[in-house]
Amino acid sequence: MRRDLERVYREHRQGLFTLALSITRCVASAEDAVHAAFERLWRMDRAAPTNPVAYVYSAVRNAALDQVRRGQAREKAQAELGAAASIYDGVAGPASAEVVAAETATVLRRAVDDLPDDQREAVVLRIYGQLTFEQMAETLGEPLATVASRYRRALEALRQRMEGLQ
Amino acid sequence: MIDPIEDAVRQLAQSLRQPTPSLDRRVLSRGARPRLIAAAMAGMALAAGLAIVAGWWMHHAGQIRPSSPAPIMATGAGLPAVDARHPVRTERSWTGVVYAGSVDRAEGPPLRAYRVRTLRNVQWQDPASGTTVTSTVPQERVVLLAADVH
Repeated sequence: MRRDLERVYREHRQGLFTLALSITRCVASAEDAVHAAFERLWRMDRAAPTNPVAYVYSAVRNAALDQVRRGQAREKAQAELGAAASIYDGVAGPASAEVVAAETATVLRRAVDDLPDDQREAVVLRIYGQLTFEQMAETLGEPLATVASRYRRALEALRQRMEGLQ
Repeated sequence: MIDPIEDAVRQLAQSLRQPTPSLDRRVLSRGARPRLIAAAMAGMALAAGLAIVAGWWMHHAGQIRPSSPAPIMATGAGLPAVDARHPVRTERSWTGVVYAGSVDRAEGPPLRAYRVRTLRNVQWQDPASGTTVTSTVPQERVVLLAADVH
C-alpha cells in the first residue's frame, strides 16, 4: 500500500487538494487534511485495497470533514481571508479564454463555488479528480446511482446559472 | 457526446488553486520518517541507558548532584525561544510526529523522554511585557516545543 500511496499522491495531488479545499474552504486546513490522511494511511500500512485511488480520496475527504467538524477550517478562513477560500485562485488561464470567455469563466467559477457542498464535491471528484462513478461511489460510500444523479444535478444547476446570464 | 458545461468546468482546471510545495515535502517524506523516528528512539534509549549507568555510578561514588528544574527550550523558524512552562496555545497541532534533528535546544536536561509537539500558529505570552504574541510559522519550518515527560 505504501508504494501505492506515493503513486496516488503524485497522480492525484491536485484532485486530492481540491477535494479537501472544497470541503474546508481554507488552504492551510486543506493541506493539513491531505497531510493527515497520508500520515494515517502510511502508519496503518494495510494491504492494498481493491481501489487505492478511491481509498485515498475517501481518507482525504474524511480528514477534511474532521477539520470542519473541529470547527477550525471555516472559522480560520473567515478570520484570515474575510471569506471562505475558493477552489480556484481567481486568475483565469489563457486557454479558458479560448473556450469560455473570461467573464463567463469568472461566473462559472463562482457558480461551482456556490454549489451545495455535496454537488461541488461530486464535480471535483468527477472532473478534477477524474474519478469514475464507481470510484466516486466508493469514495463517498454511497450507491453509484445516487452519486451519478448528484453529479447530473450539479451540472444542471451550473447550466441554469449560466443560461441565466444569457 | 461532450457536455458543454462539463467541458467548460474542465477548462477551469488551469485556474485551480495549487497546493504549496511544502505539502509535497510533508506527504512524500513519509518513507524517511519512520526510519528517522526509529533512529531517534534508538539514540534516546542508548542515552537513557548511559544516564542510568552514570547515575548509578555517581550515586555510589557519593557525587550525585541535586537535579535542577532547568527550563526546556525550543526554538525554530525565527520564533524566539519559548519556555515550555509559559502558556502556549495553538489552533492546529498534532502530537507524536518527531522531526528528528530539527530541535534546536538552547538548554535543557540531558536527553530523556520528551513529548514533542509540532506546532504552527503559536501564541505565547511574553513573560516580560505580559502581551500575547502570535507567531505564524511557515509550514516547512516547524517549531518543536519540548515538554518533559515524567
